[in-house]
Amino acid sequence: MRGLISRAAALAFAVVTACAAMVSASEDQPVLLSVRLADGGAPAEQYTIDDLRSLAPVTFETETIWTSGPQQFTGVPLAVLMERMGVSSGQLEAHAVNDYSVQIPVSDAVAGGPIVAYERNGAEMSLRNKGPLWVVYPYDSNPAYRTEEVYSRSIWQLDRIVIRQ
Amino acid sequence: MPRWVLALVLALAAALAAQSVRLGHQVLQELEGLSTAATDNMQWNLSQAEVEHLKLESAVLTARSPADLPLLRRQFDIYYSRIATFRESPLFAGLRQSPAGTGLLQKMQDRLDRMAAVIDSSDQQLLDRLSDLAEELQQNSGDVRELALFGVVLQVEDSKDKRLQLFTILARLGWVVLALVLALALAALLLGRLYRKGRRLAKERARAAARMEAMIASSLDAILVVGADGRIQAFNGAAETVFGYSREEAVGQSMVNLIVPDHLQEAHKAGMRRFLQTGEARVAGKGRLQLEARRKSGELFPVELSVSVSQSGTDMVFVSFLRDISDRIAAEEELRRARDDALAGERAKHNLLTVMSHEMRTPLTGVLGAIDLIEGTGPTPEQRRYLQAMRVSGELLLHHVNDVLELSRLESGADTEKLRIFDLEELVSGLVESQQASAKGRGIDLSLHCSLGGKSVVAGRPRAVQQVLLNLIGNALKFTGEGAVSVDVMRLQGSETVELHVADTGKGIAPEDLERIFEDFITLDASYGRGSEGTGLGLSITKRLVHAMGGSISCESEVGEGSLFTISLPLPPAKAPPRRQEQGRPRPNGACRLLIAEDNDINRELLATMLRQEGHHVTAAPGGAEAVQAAAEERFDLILMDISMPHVDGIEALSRIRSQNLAEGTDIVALTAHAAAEDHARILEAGFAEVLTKPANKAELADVIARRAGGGVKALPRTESDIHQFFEALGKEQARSFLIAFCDEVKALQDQLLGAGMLEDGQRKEAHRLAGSAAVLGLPDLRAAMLAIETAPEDEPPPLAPFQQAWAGAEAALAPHLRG
Repeated sequence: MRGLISRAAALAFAVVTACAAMVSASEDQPVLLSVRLADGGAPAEQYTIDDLRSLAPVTFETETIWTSGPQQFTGVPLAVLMERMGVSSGQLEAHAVNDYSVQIPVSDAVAGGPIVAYERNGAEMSLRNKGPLWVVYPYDSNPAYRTEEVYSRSIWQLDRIVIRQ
Repeated sequence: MPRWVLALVLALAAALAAQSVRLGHQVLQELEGLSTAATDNMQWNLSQAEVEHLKLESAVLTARSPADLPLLRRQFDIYYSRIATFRESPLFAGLRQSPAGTGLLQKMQDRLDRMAAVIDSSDQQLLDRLSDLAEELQQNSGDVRELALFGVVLQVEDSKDKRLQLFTILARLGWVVLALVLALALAALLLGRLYRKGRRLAKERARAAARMEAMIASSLDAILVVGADGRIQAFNGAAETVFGYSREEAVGQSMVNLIVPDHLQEAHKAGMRRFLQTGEARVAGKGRLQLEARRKSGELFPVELSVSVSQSGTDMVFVSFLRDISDRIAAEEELRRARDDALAGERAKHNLLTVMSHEMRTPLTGVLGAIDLIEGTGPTPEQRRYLQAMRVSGELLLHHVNDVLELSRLESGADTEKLRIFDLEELVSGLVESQQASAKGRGIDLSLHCSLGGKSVVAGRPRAVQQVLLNLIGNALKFTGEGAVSVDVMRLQGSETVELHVADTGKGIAPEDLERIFEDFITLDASYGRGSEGTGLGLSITKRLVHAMGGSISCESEVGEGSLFTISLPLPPAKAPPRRQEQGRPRPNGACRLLIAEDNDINRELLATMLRQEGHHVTAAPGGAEAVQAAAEERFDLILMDISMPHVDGIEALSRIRSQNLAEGTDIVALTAHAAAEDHARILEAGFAEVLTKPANKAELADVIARRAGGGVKALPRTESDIHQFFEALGKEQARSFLIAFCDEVKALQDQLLGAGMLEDGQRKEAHRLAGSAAVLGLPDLRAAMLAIETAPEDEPPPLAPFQQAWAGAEAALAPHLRG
């Protein structure tokens, strides 16, 4: 009986702490990425840089057609974001700060596939440098990613994702 | 058309196809590139740069308060980021490589950097310097436009390159496809020809197979095809008939179990194993073999078999042709039996003839002896005439019998006389001389012409030559009523051959009969008629003798004109033996030095006395050893030797004499009671010059001495009976005492045999001795009875009945002489 009470107390403490952290983060840092469903239903996610950093980062090195020389990117796999949305099919509409937008099939979001990069060559990316978020495919590791289609899906200055199922 | 051409064409087509696929893929890629060119990233970037420039300009122009600044700053960052792309991206390498592009980018970047300094300053400073920014952007708008135009130029060049490249690829693809089509057309042509050829071959094969099938089906021989595993693969109709199995029963079965008899199965399996392991074939491909096979009924039957191996690749089959030869074997067996029967019949006939002839001779001697005796009893003239007729008939019969026996001897090859050296002219003239009396009696002029070129001594067989000539001259005299018979002897120039011609002026022989006259038992009724007697064996004996000497005989004749017999004999000239030349032969007075060997006392005494009366010098030896001793001590002109003697018999004695060279050049003549041809053969083989059958009468003795020892030529007339000869030869007293002793000995033997059940060896010898004495005394029945006892089978009682009967007759005959 006493054990149960102590566990419940611990859980309650944890929940409170987490909520507090979220509140303080949202106050300190700007939201970099919002992910929502097209019909406006739940869930909908808002990510700051720290939120993204907490989601199992992936790092790979590749060349791109927009940069010179090999580049190292670190970011959240698109698959992780989709998983968090509970989405496994349909199209996602990616929008950029510069009003560019592109349709990406959810089926692209696989392990070893595209990431939402927040670091390039070990540094966060500024808006002037195609930041802060950039959808990058590992072009070098898979020839299928070296196509016009995939290049068009490599949206930089990403700021929101709308999912159409 | 060779296969490799087709293979080459197909390989070429495959290469061309691969090439066309590769080019097609390239074309697709190029086309894809062209199709996406409109939405190219570069185009977007370029246009977007202008858009973002305008947005920034708008943001600058509309900014009034610090609240407008974040939007301005963000718009600047976006524009900045776009321009950075131009500097970094490989897509714009073409732009950066052109000097104008580099300058333009540098100018814009410198401007950006200046503006960035303003943008990054504090809000107040930024608001203060918005006009500077607007001015910069004013100037920048031209550059952005220029940049966009650069993009158009780059785009056009890129598109042109791609188009040209695509055209090249398409052109190449076109050629490749054309070549491919040509190659495929060629391949199709080749395949078509191959197909037609294949069709034709298949048809031919089908026809050949049908023909083969018909051949196999209609074959009278059973045909089996057996695989290497020993199982039957094919079984034709004849095989069904022969073996009794239907095709369904046989095919797939093991051939060994089906048709090979049990006793051949192991050999067959071993043979198959050996062949499969070593390839060494003992049956296959070795032509026809005769074996046994088994029918379904289990019956074994003979087959003729030929097996061949047919191998194509690793597939090997044995093709066996089998013929049921039961009928043939049976027919062969039948023929063989018929032939054997015929031969056996022929032999039996021959034997019968010989035995009969031989058995006739002894009684005939008796008849002739009896005629002699009767003539001595003073017959009336009429009786004397009848007796003469009987004698002539008897002698003729004896002559015939001798002919038959002579033929038998020649047939058995027993009478091969040894080669010796003799004077041919002397022999022929002596012979002709001996026939002169007979010729004169018939009114025939018998003449002799010898032209041997001084070389009258030859190597040959004198007795055979003599007999041949005697036969021919006898025939010529017989068949020539009145006229001439001439004998020509001449040596062919420079050759070893001597030709002897006997020509007569007789009746002649019809042409159709010329070939037949040399056959056995031929008498020519038409021309020679039964007016002339004869067995018809004379010329066949002559022919055999001539052939045995390696010569030839021929006859030419014209009916009514006469006949000419020609004999060619190989008689090479020889050097006369010097000893005979030196010593010569006591021919004129006929006195010869003779050695006789005879164990029977009576016979020996009788023989010695007879020969002494003829004027010869006689040495008598009672046994073989004594004869050898005598031959060593003295030289003889002729030796007469009994064959059956105790201790050292005649053959042993002769071999000792010859091996010690004791009587060189002296003939040794055998005296024997054995008249069988086989015995004569054995005796002659041992080296005796000739064989005289006991009892030998005076004439025979005189003849053999004349021929062998060069003694008196005249044949002694046979005028007295044996018993008279005996008494004459020995003198009355001595003869009587011999007779008494003989009778006592016979009686003693008779008593012994009556008391004893089995014959003893001594009794056999006694019987033999007494048989010799009985022969001398002219008691043929007793002699025969004695010989029967001598040769009686061991496990039977002695044949006493004929002995007693013969002795009763003999006692009666001897009784008057015993009384003196």
